[in-house]
Amino acid sequence: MAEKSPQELIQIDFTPPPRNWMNPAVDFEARRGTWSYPAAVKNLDYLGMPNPREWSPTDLDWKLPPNWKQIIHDGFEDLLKKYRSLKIFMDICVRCGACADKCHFYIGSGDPKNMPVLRAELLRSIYRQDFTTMGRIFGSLAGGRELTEEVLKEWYYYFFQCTECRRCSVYCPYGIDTAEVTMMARELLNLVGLNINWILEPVANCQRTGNHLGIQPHTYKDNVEFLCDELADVTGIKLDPPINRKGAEVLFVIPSADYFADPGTYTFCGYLMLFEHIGLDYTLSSYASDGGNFGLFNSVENLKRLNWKIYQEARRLGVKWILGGECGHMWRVMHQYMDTLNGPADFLEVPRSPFTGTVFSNTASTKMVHICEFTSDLLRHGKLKLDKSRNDKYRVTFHDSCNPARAVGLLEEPRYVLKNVCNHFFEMPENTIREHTFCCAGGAGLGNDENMEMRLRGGLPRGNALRWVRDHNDVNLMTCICAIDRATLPPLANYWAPGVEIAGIHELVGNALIMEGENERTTDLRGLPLVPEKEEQGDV
Amino acid sequence: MLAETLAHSRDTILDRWIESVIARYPEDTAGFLRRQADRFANPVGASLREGLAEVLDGVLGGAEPGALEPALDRVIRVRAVQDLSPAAAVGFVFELKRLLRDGLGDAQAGNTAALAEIESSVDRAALTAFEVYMRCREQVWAIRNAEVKNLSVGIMERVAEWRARREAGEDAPRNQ
Repeated sequence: MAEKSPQELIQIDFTPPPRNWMNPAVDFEARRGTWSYPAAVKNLDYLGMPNPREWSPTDLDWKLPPNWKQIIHDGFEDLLKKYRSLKIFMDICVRCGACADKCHFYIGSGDPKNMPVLRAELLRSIYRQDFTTMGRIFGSLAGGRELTEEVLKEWYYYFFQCTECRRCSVYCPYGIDTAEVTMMARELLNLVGLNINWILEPVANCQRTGNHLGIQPHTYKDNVEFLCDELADVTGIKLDPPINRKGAEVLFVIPSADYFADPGTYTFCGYLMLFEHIGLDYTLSSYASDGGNFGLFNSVENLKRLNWKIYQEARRLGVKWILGGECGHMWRVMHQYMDTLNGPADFLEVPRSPFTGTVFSNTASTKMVHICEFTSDLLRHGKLKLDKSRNDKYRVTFHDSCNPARAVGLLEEPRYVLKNVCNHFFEMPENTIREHTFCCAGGAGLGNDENMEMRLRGGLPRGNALRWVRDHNDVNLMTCICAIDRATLPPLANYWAPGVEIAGIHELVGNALIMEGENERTTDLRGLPLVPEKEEQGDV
Repeated sequence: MLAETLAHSRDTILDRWIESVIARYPEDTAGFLRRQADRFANPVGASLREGLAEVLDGVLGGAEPGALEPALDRVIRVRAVQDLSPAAAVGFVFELKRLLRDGLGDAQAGNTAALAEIESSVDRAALTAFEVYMRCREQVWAIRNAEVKNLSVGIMERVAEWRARREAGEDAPRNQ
């Protein structure tokens, strides 16, 4: 070394050596913070799912069944027979790369295996090897790969690093639904007991009690009453929302986080105020007490089971139609899967607003209307008395939650509601909203704390756009219509754009609604002053 | 003299600095980070382009180390949550020394004292970078901790409080 000149010494090539993507090795110990804990034995037992056992991804031995390879192979074969879409998605990709740089996890992490095309290739390579003639003959030359334990571990790592947000699918010229590729991979992982607790515990709870949190009817009632007590402090009106009331016109279904976690609880209060304001004949249910359906993130079987309970409850209560709250993936399930899972819901009536006469014929099969459709229709017909200025302390932006935006196309209604209930609304940059919206990075069961580093990486694109409107438009509130968002966006904003709070849209509706017989409002639904005191300004 | 030469080669130094950081990402990713100019489609690239430009200008302009904090935060906040060791996350600052010397070329001779001064300011920037990195990492842990607490404890405390008040026949005002 001593003979080299300083100029020679500083000629360092920083380019990392190329690494073959087919190499599946993942160091779970070194990558703590980017994966989720495995499902607990009790939850797999409860759901009757395979291979319940204590294990950790950092263990060398994942305690797979001895014939795991055959199980995966047979399972893959079954799925290919059952879902023509899977076979098409496996065959049709030409690896054009249009999706490659569209994934929030890839953009934030720079890990090539977070590119949707490469993530899918982890599965596709096994498909080629095992199920195509070219792959059987030419192996890796034809893009095939042998299924080994390391490949399985790699699946666990990367298919639980996809939030099934479907941003990549927007750009795919063939319309490959990458979320369904992830769903199929998770179906296969289920067969040998590789699943995560943040998904399986909610599924087991929901199967048992009707909601992800495992809340039983008496606690449900207690919580609703508690929220009504808090609300009475703000408005001077004590509401008494009906629960499990037979013969109501409408069953109202919401994500459980709306009555059990802030800031969703304020959105919940907003819903109740709206119904009181217009005199809706409705009921809550302590059984259909979660619109969310973590079965979507696990298996078709569980997806179907959890969706079914909502319709059975609608039948039991004898309602005419269903109204759904601000939930994200509930709407993907309703809009794209319900009809073939449990539908059509012929025992219900096509929803018709009793106040405006509007028939929601778009829900002819599911009989379930989104609260933003319902409220914007009320606004359109001038049915609500509002004081927008009560939201004047907020400079508001709107995060299009992936599922309502991309799966349902619910783009205008939430904006219409927002513009009617607040005076200061600002859009984030065009390529980060509407169908191009960036995910919160905590959906599809990944919103747990042990996965926080991955969530923050994946949250960068959203956080970056949010910081832009915070800095350029003084935005201090990001609204959304998804309970997972309301849980996962606060930490995201805290890290990437501090100073921005998160709220549901109906929280702002509740703030603005002028209720009959109410006290003079001095605080918002959070109990904070409507007009911040001078020294507190800018710190809302 | 030294300042003038460096000012003259500022753009070249900056480009090389950004490139030296980008080149350490896997090949496919490096291509994306270089190519995609949209700040919202490529926030990592944007953080490097904007953050490193500010840091470089600060170093060349003799800024106080504290003044570089926001620009360093722009870059390091991203690197603190990527799959990088602490050394890799902040080590790019030291890279600037080599690039400055390169930028000076022959002008290094006779400017030893002035060069040493600039290099000291790079060292100070590196110390600030370390502080920023630690702050970000601690924030990640604080966020994680708060998540667990908020989810499980926060609302239950409020429920319990109201249950007690109801049982006591009290209609207490909410003030939180």
